[in-house]
Amino acid sequence: MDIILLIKKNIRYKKGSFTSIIMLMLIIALSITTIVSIKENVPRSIENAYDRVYDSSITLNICSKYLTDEILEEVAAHPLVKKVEVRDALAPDKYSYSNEKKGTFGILVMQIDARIDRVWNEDYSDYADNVRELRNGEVYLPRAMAEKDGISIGDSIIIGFKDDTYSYKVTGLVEEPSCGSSFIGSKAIFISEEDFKSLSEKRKMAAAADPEAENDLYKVIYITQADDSSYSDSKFVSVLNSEVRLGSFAAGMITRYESLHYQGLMPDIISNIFLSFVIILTVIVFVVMSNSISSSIELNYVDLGILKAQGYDSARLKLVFLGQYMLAEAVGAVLGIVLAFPVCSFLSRAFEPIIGLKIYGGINILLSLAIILGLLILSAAFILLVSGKVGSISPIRALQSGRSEVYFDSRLNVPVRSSFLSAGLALRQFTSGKRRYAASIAIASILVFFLLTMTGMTDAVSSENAQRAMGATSENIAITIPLDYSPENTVIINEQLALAESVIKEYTEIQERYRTSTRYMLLNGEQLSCIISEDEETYTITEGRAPRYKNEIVIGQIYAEDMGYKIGDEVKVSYQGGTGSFIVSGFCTGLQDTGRFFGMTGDGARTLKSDFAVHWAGYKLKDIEKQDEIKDRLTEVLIDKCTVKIYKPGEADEVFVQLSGAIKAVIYVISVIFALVVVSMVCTKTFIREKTDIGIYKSLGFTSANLRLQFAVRFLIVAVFGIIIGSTLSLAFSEKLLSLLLRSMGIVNFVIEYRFITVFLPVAAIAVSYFVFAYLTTAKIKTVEVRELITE
Amino acid sequence: MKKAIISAKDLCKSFAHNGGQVHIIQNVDLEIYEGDFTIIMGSSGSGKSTLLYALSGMDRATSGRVELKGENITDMSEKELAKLRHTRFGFVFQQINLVSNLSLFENVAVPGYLNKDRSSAEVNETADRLLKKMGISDIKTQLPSQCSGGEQQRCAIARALINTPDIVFADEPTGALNRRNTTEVLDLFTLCNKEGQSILMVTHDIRAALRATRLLYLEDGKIIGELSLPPYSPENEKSRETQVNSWLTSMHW
Repeated sequence: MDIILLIKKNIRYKKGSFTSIIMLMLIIALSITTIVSIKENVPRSIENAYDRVYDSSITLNICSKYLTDEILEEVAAHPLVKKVEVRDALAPDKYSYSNEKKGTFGILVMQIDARIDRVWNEDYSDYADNVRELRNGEVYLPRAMAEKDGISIGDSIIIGFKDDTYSYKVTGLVEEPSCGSSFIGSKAIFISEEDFKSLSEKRKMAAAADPEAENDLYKVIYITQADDSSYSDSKFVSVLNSEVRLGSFAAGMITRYESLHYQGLMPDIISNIFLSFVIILTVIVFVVMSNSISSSIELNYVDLGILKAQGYDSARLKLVFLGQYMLAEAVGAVLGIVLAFPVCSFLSRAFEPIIGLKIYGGINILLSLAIILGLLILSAAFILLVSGKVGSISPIRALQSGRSEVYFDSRLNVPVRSSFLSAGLALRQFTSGKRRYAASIAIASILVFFLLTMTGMTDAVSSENAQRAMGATSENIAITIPLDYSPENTVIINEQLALAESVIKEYTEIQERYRTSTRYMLLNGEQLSCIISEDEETYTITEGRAPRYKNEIVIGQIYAEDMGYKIGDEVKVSYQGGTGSFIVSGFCTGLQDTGRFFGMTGDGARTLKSDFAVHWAGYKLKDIEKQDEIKDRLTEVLIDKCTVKIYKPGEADEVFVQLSGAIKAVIYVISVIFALVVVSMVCTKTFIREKTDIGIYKSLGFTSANLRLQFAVRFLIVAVFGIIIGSTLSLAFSEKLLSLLLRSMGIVNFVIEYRFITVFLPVAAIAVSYFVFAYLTTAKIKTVEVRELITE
Repeated sequence: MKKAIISAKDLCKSFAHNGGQVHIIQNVDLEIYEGDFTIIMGSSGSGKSTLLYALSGMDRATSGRVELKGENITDMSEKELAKLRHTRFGFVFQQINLVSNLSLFENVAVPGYLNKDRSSAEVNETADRLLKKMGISDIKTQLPSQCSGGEQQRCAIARALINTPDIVFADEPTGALNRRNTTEVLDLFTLCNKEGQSILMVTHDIRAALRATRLLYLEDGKIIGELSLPPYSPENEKSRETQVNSWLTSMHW
């Protein structure tokens, strides 16, 4: 009873500390509950959507000319295969939109069927109840494709073949659970049965006249694994590819596992980023509690001594601390869980444009409660540990003289001068009680570290140097020559590229050249993206070297680590019927298929397919101001088939820029709230401790504004120390942390380019927060009367 | 004719207590004169310190008016009062109240720095001179916690004098000191007064009262007696003691 009374009194008189702990715990509980729920809801929703529509283990696209009845029979007859379903598709050379937006995916045009039955309603809150049949001239796009390409209902998509273009009006955005996510590079779009038949007929007629048009005719094959097979999807693919001849001809192949993985990738990465942030926030809460308890013991030394003199032992006093802090944490936790309901729903909706399907499910209350309970138990142990200091309180000393005399000598003291008097006094106050500010410095450094890390991550989206270091090429102009493989076309391609280079050199120097093609090939039976390049600089090598000879390959480091490949290993590569042995010459990094790729030289590819030629060339220019002129000139001199595109340095995908901006904003807001809570807690305690000094300064003629400025400057100094430590930590660990967090995207060596804005934003956020919040929190300095110095 | 530095008219100070009002200072009319060493005496709880702080603008009176050389300070803003404190007033407290993380020199110099009429070098020179006068120049770099109570109070006097104030207010300045330190501190006040410094002190220490040139007696918030004395010298201490004791007895001290 007495303990409850003391807890009630403490809460009543220390409302500030109590509220601060509630707020901090609220943010943590809210974040934990949201992350836990999102991490469960997103994969489950994707899986349910996939399984509702498809029962296949593998989906692959193959040019019709390679798919013979014999191969199909071979696949169907395989003991591991339960079912094979084949659907027609058309692969246009290019596509664009009526609103001038560029298409960013590879697309297949397919006929709408009963499985694609979920069309988003007008406000994208759910799927429409009544979906009318698709009419001629209309098209359904996967929602994520429309969102990424910036397309709305009513716009038209124009698909182009070698000799013809067709326009369809977008009348609906659909759920496509196989490859609907914006993280998967190929998309299926759906037109009416009649339109598809008509279009197919035209392409077949074109193919009869021109063999090159045969490349427009595709098949999408859905292969279902036998019920009695216990193989994983990847093992199933590997075995199937090694025993039938289908895989090496496929233009693209995706397993159910990969589909689910890629679609859920972005929410998973974002959840992991926030999870690491929550871990850091939890550390901050513990630092804050430790500081708060220590200060309380120091400031209430006499009261605690009196209680001891009344017969309270240390254990009982510790229970009072435990009770009040646990009560605050429990209140914060409950509020956080309650708030998680709307936040989780909001976040789910935020992910839907990226994934393209609806996220179902609410809060995972049990798991969230379990984690929060674990955190509370850990916190209770920590409180008992920190409040152990009450054991050293001497009732006699407390009653006689309070705490022992404190000396303030410091080597950091600099003389107080007339100029910058407030700043000098603030520095003296800081150097006199450095230990009191240790917690605030630690928190500022943690926040700066995390803000720098996050700013570095989001800025990398638009940093050319950072992207290059992580495996992206940095072309300013690129030429695509989509000609079929043939000895004649190889000659044309080489002539066109030579011509293009000579034109570019008339305007500016070529700094880097990447002549590449990306094709799906089988590496030891597993279908992977292969980057075939005539230029070594295409690859960002992390170990070993780039392929130089025709029997060498490089492998993405993440995939190599997962599969246990080493430099010098011999591997088997198959492509369109050709097979060869290659030596692993090194590992590289890159975002291609989230790091699951390999690379070889053009000569290497020609050992598998003799008439192979790269179809794309990117050039990094010395003078990018001349991009437009060069593009115009190239369009004039190159054959019509060629397309020329220009890229601005650091040009980034709009969706990712917005998403990374949103992550950054949320993390900044939470950090500023934490800074507010921490500064106000420490300021309040400092204010109580220094009330007499404030009175003295007032008696000497200092105004409240002077004294508040001193407080603000003092906390600015605290922030500066935190910034120095946080920045040092960031230099040492940010890239490692990001490489760990973004590994699932294929990044093994995240590179932060510390630009002015990268450093300025976090530093300014913390410095300004500490300064402003200290100034605002000390408004009560006005209430200190000099008469408090009077001893009546 | 002496000039008044501080004039109080119908000064009242009361506090709310248990739903009623407690009147600490009641309708005091008073003038403090230039060059005087005025000491207010009275029993404990008579309102001495409250009167001192009301007169010095440290605390606002409930009603009435206080003037500094004819200028009304009762309605001054916080900023104006703050300026008065570092330009025209000096304060010495019973609990000394030095800033614990500033050295003795810095404690003296900081209020001087606030006064922008003087250069930093002038302030430093004055601070050095005052510390020397107070006999603590050899320990000027030490922190208050490293000094004795007497040394700290001498530093506080130097601090009060740094801006050559019109008047120094001293609230029981010897209350926390031992006998030897008390004498040293009172000697310094006497010396300053002889050099022309006006002082208004509150005390219930008879040894301090002997240094006054004017004694006021306060009871229940009202001035009930006054005694004028010639300037103090060690030679006339005995006769002053008899005179003051007799006066205090008449005041029912």
